[in-house]
Amino acid sequence: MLVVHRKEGQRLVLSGGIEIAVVSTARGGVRLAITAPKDVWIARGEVHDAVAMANVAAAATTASIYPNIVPGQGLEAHATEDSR
Amino acid sequence: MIHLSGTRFGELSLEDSAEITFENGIIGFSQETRFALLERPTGPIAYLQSIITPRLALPVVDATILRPAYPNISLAEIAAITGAKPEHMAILVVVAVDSSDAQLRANLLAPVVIDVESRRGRQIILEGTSYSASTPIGNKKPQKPAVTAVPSVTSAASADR
Repeated sequence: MLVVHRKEGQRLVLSGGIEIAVVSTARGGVRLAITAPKDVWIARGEVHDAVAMANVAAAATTASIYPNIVPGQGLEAHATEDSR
Repeated sequence: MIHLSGTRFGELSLEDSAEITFENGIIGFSQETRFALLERPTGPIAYLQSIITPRLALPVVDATILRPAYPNISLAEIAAITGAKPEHMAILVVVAVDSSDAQLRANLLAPVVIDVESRRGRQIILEGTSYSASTPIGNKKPQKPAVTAVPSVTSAASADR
């Protein structure tokens, strides 16, 4: 992880053609402009996490409909490992 | 052949050609890069079965069956994000039963896009749209229960119970 101080108008450049610019800061928030290749999707963290949780819920749905599984190997334990 | 034991559906044998590669995994399951789509003889719900983790399978529905106008961004845009060709594109949405109210909900915010020719898939987030990750889709009987309408993502597996 890189923690770095930037001012308004300054940028960060990442490999893969990704740039993040600080547009403005106000009232405890920061406005960013992100440039990335077309095949890179960008989502707010909480939106990404909601999708991950929906996928976990979907996996649990399968488990509830088809509980054909070895006892002690619940899906939930696996599913939460990666729900960042 | 791909042999899977310990799946939700029991033992499965799949043709190698049934495999769909998800280079980036699916969201929240980044290690899950190999799947197959299991379709049932009846009903619109299919299962995206992990080949890496047999006990992991996500119920999915063909988006066009659920919502004919979905998604509200162009296929060309989705093609640019996913690399899937519009003419080879299958768009699936993940569905789940909400444990709090037993409602069936669809994740319209993050469709699973599969290029049925190259057999590569990707789950994308339609950030900036009004779609929700848990849209109620009525009761457990989706509106058009014709499995024949599910397009050409096929696998050799029969996973009916």
